[in-house]
Amino acid sequence: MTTAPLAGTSLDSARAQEALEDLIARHDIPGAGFAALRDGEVVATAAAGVANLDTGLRVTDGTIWQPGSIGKTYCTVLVMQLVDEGLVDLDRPVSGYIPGLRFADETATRTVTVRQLLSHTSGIDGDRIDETGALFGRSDDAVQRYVASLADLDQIVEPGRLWSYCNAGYIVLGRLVEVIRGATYESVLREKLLEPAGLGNTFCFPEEVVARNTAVGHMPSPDGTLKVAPIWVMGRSGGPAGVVPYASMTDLVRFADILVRGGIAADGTRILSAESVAEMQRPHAECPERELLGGHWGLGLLAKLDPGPAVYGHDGNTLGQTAAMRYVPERNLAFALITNRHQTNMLFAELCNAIVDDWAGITTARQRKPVEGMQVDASERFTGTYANVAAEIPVALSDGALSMELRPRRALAEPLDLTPFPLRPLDDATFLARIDIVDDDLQVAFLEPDAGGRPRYLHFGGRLYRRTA
Amino acid sequence: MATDVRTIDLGALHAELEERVGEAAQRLGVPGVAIGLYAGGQEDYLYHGITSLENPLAVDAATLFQIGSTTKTYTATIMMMLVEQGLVDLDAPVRTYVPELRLKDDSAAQSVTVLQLLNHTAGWSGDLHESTGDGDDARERFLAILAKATQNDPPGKVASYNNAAVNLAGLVIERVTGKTYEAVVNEMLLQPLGMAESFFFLNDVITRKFVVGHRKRKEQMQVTRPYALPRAVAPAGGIISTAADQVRYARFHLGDGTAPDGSRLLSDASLQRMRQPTASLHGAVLGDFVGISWLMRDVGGVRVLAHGGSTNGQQSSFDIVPERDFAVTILTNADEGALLHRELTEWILATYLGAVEPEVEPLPLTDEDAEALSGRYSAVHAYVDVARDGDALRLVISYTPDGERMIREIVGEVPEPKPIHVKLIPGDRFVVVDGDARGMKGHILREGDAVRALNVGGRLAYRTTA
Repeated sequence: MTTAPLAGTSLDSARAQEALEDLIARHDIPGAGFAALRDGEVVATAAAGVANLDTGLRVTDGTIWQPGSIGKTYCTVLVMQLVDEGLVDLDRPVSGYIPGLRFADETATRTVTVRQLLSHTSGIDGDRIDETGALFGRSDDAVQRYVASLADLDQIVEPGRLWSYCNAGYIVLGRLVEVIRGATYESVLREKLLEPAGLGNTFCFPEEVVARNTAVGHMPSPDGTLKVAPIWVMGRSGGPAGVVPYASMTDLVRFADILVRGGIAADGTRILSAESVAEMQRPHAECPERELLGGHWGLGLLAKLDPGPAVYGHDGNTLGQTAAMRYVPERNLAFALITNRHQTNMLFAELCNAIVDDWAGITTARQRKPVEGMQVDASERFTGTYANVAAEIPVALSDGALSMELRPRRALAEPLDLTPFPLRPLDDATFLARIDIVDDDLQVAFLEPDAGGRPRYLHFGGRLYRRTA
Repeated sequence: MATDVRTIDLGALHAELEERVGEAAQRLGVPGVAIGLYAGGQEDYLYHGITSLENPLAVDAATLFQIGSTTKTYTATIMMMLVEQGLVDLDAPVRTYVPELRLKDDSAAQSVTVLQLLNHTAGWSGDLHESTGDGDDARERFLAILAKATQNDPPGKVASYNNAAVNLAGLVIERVTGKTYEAVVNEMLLQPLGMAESFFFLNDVITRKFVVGHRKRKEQMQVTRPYALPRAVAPAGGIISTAADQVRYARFHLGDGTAPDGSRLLSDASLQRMRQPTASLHGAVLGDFVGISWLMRDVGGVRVLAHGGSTNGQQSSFDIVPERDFAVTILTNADEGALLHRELTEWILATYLGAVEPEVEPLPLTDEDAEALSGRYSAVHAYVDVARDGDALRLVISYTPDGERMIREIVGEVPEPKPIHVKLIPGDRFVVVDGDARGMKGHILREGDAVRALNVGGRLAYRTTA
């Protein structure tokens, strides 16, 4: 384990600003924000570009962003507070806490635990999100109505075995918080976390951020030009999965700082027990995306444990904004980056390599690239069709080359590439798919070969897809 | 009577208007203004200043303002369209369409008609601002709040500004169409009129260029928060729009009821019906008469139909003059914009149309009147205390604890009670003679010789025994 020398490797706002402006210029990003914190003090902030391409409003340090799924870490804190108070046992079935909770699979209904939901190992086929609020509305009962609709949600795999990113699971956790606290998710978030932690630039409702400097998302249209994403107000039922909170970058790192400090806010207020933070950071499952997501998952946190020091955090993707938050307890620091362009996840490593790694004494890995000329034997066994509730992935072999398509099962608000992605091997069961629309390679892993050697699962974009043909 | 029917040349007056807007905005501290004018086929627009003191962007043609209560005329227009479709009878009791309507006074709940919801004569206290959430059921849930409304007068008797009644009208629209109010307005009015820049929902606003409200606090102009758009209130004040879209809407009301593509939205007879006086406003601040939502006044003999808007920190005016094929709308992003649009509208009507309302000489204050008028009056969340001050009466408006709480919720703080002075004028009215509201008229409601209520700012405050 290496500890990079810290003396002389500084990070200040000027350096961060330069790097951020360079990043957005090279990658055609309208605007971005960055903040870094060490020993409880914000040491650098950067604000580049525009919050909205149509209006030209400039990004500032006060800009309010949509950190997206990083909100799951906030949700996890609220659940762990219930554990601290002895109100929830992580290893009890969640249906014991939420009257009437039902999934399609009877065993899942009876056995899926709170812990499994927190660690994305419940196996629930979980990518059902009410993006616009058309299904479950924006009233105080939005989360409740969503959870009541899960009775037809199947398993992609039995509970407790494999890691598959599950938005539905976090909305169920949000409902758990609501039921036990007897209040809406947003009000618990405000009362139990935002207010005691002094996070005054973090908000739960669009009405609170509209009269502020608020960043809107941007997505490429079919002809490649960037357009303001039409949906900013996302369905309220998605709150616990990351529709809330909205935050400035400074507030985001100050939230991470609570975890750096083992559960204590900057002014000494205890938000969570040190044991709960440790439990959040304990690896619960292996995550196939090693470079992008660290390789392990805790509770509400990705975990990159090797090589050290350990880095924890979470990513976020809304309709048009991309966020990443990381913290390093051993170095007493946290940092976060957000852009208002859709799916710019791969740029996080680029920025880290430029200005964060040396300062933090870490090494942020870039996505492994295929070795030239590598062949995989018996590629035939990968072919077939894999599916989950959100999409179908046909994998085909043609002239010795594998390719896959992504066919969503419902209309999406985001732009899509429906042409086949070529798959190039990284190892004998892992490939890279070239996705032009995000100008990047995303990992595709084939898992659980059956007796004939044919994989039963495909893992892509954090989610499992089960072979159907 | 305006005897000279001038040919209005909007272009020729643009430069002077621009100068006046700049001067008034500067003097009053209004950060941003958008003006739309229409006269006999011509249109003219004027954009001034910035959207927000905190995050300034230039006000331009694409900039969205909250038009507030001008929305009431949209609600009324939709209702007239539904009447023509045979879905609503204006004179039918509201319970025909909303059978579970409850009010504190059951006979009022039984008898109040749809029309009475649209001309401020429903008779209950109308500033019921409790939130009912953001769901499609916001107006349904509003019924529970209406059930607590105090009935001041039997429906149809007096006009006292009533937001809650228009929310209820929105629910009637939802019940007879089976769609949300916003969807109905979009389908039946905004789309046919080509009003592509008019919205109800935050999601449509937040991705575009829009103004935020401002108010002077402790001598400094500041952004007001929240940018409030409670869903229950959409029928009474929820539209966010541009000056150009408001001119499109004005042209519809000045026309014959057809859309730009020639399709008929409303009969000319129904357009006219909306302009027939249905209740007196006594020449007080809101005007002389109310039609079906239109607040109407005569300016130097010229009939003006109006409905301005007032939200948290945004004030706007909307005036149309059918007999002169003329319309003007002034949208501003400050409370102080109310003074600006009043001043400018007066100047515009005088200059463009030759329409001038002569000044009224105040009457001396008799001992009798001073005695009869002095005392305390109460409105739903406020008190008005009246006392003699020489030749004038001094009015002090204060708020009940509930009122203070509500104002704090909506506006963020409770304004300092500032006394204003009024003098009596003919027609049992009074006029404010000092402060920001100078020139504003109110009226006195008597029962026999006794003073029963004062109409202050469009709402009735009733004499209490205390």
